[in-house]
Amino acid sequence: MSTKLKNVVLIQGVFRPDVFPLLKKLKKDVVVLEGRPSLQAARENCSRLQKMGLMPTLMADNMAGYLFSKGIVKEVWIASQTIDKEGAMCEIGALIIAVLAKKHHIPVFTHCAGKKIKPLSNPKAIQKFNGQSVITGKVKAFVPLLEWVPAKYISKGGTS
Amino acid sequence: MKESPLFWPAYLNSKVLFVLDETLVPQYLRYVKVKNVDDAVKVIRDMKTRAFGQFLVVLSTFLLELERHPQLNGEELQEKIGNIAHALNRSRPTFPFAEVTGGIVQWADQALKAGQDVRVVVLKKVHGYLQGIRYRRLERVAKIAATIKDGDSVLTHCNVSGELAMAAAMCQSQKKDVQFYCTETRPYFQGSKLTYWELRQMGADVTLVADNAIGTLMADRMVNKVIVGSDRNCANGDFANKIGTYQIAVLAKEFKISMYVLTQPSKRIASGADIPVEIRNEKELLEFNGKRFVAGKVHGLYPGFDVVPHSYVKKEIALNVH
Repeated sequence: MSTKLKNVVLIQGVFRPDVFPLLKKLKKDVVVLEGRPSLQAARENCSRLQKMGLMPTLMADNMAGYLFSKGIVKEVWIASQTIDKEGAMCEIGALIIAVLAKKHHIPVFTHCAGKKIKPLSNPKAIQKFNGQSVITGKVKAFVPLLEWVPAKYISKGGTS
Repeated sequence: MKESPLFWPAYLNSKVLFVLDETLVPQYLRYVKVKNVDDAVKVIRDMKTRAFGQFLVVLSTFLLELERHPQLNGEELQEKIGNIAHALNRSRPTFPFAEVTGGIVQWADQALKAGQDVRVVVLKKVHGYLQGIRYRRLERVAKIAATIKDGDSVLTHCNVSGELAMAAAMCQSQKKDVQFYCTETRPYFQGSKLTYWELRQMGADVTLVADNAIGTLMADRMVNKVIVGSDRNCANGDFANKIGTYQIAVLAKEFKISMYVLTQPSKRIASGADIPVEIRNEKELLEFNGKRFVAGKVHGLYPGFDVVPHSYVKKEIALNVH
């Protein structure tokens, strides 16, 4: 059960398949953030972890802070689209995790997925969840899919 | 002042307590019929109502049960009131219902000891208490409006039971140009369903964002203020609020954005470390409308609340409890 979580690697974004054997070697609990609006991170990461024989724990994107406040996050892994010495272009939500990690003195590692992601989604994307309607009608929404994480939030040598 | 239905989401009529089913808003404005304390506990536990609505249900349940049992004498009423308090206190652990129900139990005890009519005393005091809360919440709406300045862009999370929406309407009447951003607030989407809707109802300029977009909003200076509610307050200023509030607070501090919190000051809990955080059933996270969205074996962790240290708060917008 979830309350048994003690040493957590928190992963955010959709990772390349070759990253998961590295996660397994850590022998830690892996917590996956769901990755609104598409939920692709939840689906793909959980599926790959299951194939590695690992039991993932899923949390909503707004729940990462709770894990940090409990002091159980030991590492953060973030999937990036591109990375350079100035920082990394990551899937939306990465900046939250990176700032939380900095505040709690937790290392942040980025893994370049190299995948092309468009910067913004259609506002309608957050009117649905898992294909089902959350709210109907015309909604004014801002749905960024990418964000910049400055290098100061990323640990040295923390890329692959 | 135009009121949001979420500002006062329960009312008593003919021995039935009608509670707005907030899980159906905005599609439907339907009220659940609560006929006894068991129904009240269920409506709270099932999160049909939340935040201020829960306190309204707790207080109104005493009125309901007193009306339903006109035959009980003083001693019997005292026992009944104690039992109601006990049941309500256990409905959701993070909420300080005992702080409210304890007062009602005390009123009954004191009335009995003084040889007064327990029913009359308790009814009068609960009605008076509710009227006082209503007045003070309206006062707080004005305080929120005073906090929001012309040109502000305000981020909010979850829902503050009508007060922010009514403050937005007040800002409009004061000719302030204000933008609002509200987070969708997984897993129950109170932001998408309640806050977005009621701000729009009040004519506010509001934009919905996913919970994971707050970093970009703050880093790009798209918001300059954060205003959130609180479900439980401590003597040192720490508070508990909907899950997601802690990371908003940490990011706001990082990006030097002022955070304001609506509080109900209380000295009963010393600090946030003493607040029990409810861990809800993982099914509520892993399913939406009864449909699971991740295949295979996976755990879900759903803490209902975050505890936020007072150091993150620029200013409390407090309910005057004195």
